[in-house]
Amino acid sequence: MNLSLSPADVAFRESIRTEIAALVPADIKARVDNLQHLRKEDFLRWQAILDERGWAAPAWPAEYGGPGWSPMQRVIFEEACFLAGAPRQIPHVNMIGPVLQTFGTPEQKRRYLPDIPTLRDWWCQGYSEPSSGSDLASLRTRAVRQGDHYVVNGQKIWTTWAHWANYMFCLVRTSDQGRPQEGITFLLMEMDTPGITVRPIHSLDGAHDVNEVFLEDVVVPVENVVLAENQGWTVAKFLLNAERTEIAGLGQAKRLLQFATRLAERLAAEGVAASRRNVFENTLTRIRIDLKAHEWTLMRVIAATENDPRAPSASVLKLCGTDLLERLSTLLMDMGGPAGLAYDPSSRGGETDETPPYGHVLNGTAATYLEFRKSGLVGGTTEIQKNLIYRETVGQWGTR
Amino acid sequence: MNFDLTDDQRALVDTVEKFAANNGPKPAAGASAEVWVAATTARWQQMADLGLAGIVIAEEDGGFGMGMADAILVCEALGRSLAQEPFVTGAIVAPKLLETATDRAMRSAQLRAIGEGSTRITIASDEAILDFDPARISTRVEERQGGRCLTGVKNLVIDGATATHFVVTALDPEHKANAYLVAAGQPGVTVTSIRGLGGGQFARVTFDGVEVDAPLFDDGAGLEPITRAIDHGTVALCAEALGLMTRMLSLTANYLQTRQQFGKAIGTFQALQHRFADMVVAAEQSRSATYMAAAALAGDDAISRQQEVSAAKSMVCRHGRAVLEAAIQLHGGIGITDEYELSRYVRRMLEIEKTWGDAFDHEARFGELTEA
Repeated sequence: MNLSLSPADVAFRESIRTEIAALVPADIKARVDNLQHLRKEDFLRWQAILDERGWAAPAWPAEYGGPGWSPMQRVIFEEACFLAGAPRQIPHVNMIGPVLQTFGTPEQKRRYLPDIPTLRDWWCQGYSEPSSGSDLASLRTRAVRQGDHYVVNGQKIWTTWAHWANYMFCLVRTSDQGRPQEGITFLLMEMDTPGITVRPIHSLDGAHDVNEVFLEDVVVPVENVVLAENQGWTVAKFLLNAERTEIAGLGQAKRLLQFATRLAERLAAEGVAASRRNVFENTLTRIRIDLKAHEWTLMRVIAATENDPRAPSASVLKLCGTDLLERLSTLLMDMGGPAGLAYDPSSRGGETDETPPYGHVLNGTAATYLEFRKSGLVGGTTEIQKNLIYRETVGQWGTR
Repeated sequence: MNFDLTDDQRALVDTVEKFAANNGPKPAAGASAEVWVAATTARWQQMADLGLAGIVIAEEDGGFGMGMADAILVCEALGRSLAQEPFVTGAIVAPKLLETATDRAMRSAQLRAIGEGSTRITIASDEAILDFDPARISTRVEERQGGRCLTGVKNLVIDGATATHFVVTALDPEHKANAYLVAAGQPGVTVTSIRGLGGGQFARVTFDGVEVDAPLFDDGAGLEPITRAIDHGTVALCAEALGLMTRMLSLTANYLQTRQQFGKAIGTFQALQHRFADMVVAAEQSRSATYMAAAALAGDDAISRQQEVSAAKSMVCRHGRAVLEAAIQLHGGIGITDEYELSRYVRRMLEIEKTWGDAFDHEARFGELTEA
């Protein structure tokens, strides 16, 4: 065991932080710092800046045009982005990219990979269905093989940014034989294929990020299968593993903590009673402490070797991240006090820059609380994560 | 003690439920202030015609002389159906403010107007936006050419966007707290609508040298008449929250029994059953605390009244959060969908939480009163 960051990683951290801080456009930084809802244009502009440096796809190896960073360097990079007030990483870059690099045919790699980091192609993930949430393997969107193509019918739901996407990777049912997992295929499709309809879903905070995607007799060429027919679950599991650092929510948690710290100063300056502020300060202190441990849990997951029996599972990381995001967003809601009343959900994600009645910062307190009620649901619910931890660990612990 | 509803109380609840079911859709989110005022005026008149506006007003002033035990039944029914009418301000707080006013003739006339539905009066007391403290007043009244004029800014005035009148707290020329009745259309009054988190019609109201009559309360009454009225309103909000919790519980119960995953109803999973049980306990405790506070409102002891009200509000705020968060988690994705009914109950719950003091404000007041 060696508990210190390597000198190379320390040097990398110093240089990347300085560089990133100088790159974030001021207007984007202001929106991010105020916890405002970002627009597609904000993501595109930031991604173009990263692309110039060769950092647009941080999880990609050098052979595919990525920076070839180690997992530790990626975490350092992500943290630098969050600290600098940059938009979050577009998850699909680090998801579909590595999937195609690992399982894609030469033709798929040639066709799809180049435009992923630049976001010239925007991908969305078609996994959940109305009747298949936690029980994802029960999914019913069906792809029927007809000659050299599939005809796909069904419905996806909670599809993030489907309205911005021109491609979707999705899981479809191609067989009813064997276990439900054994009849699933990982399929790529263009969003403008006839028969695909995207319908917006507005969330509790009023924002439009997720969608329903209806698939009606959608014709998809057979060459759009990744890996092989009925092998989709293998690809899905690989992808889940690829997003585990994202799912830790560390960067988001640090951003909310930064926001809460600034808000605490404002509360003191504006004469809020000490009794009230003390409650918030105590909560903030506990969150700070837990966040430090969470960061080390992330390090242990990242640095774990194949044969490390003490490496925590990704579910532990997800649960701790969810807990922190829920508590932080709750704290913000509490700190905002009566001002949170003035949050108008119908204004979230609008195209105007109209200032809310009591300013963007106070508006962000209620917006964030409402937004982060999703924390315990997305990427596997808290209940499912607990089931996984039990199943994965009870045997090991029993034999110790 | 008896917690069963009398026949009269059951009829009252029935009246409210029928009203809530038949009062038609609200204006759209982006509708203009004028549209909202017109719609609210029409529905308020309906409520007055049903006898609801004058429910706590004394019979001698044209009301029905009912107590808070009756009023909270109305509030709970309004909450259950998410009616969101200006009942708590217009039919609870305003009468409670005016019934202790010094000028008997004015008082009687105003109470009569409320009961008849011709006025919707709200309280304009809050100035701070980061906590709740009705005692922190910088709005002031000055003597000018034999008259008085009022100047100041009130933030997040509840139902302020549609009210006809405001009872405005202000410091008199001797810097003593009192309250003044101001019509929304008076020269010098500027009402800026603020659409609330849960759809409420709030306002930021600016008073710029507005001519006012004599203060409402006896010289030296201090904040007590105002605190007492807000305490009544706070209990009414707690009761509305009980209605919200009831509905959130029933939506969740239905979902747990009908939503299928892994080949069975998700309500068969013990982890979810336990979370639901926590919701039930939180709702029951909130109900007990609300009844306790409603009982304390009838007493003469201002200290224990404030304690009980703060105990109830802080508990309803805390448990309201627990209930709404569990309801969301047990619903999964559909629970954070704007289109689904639950989201409106969640946001109204949060709005109630932030109105007239949240858990922290009320825990602080409870603590101070206990130490005193």
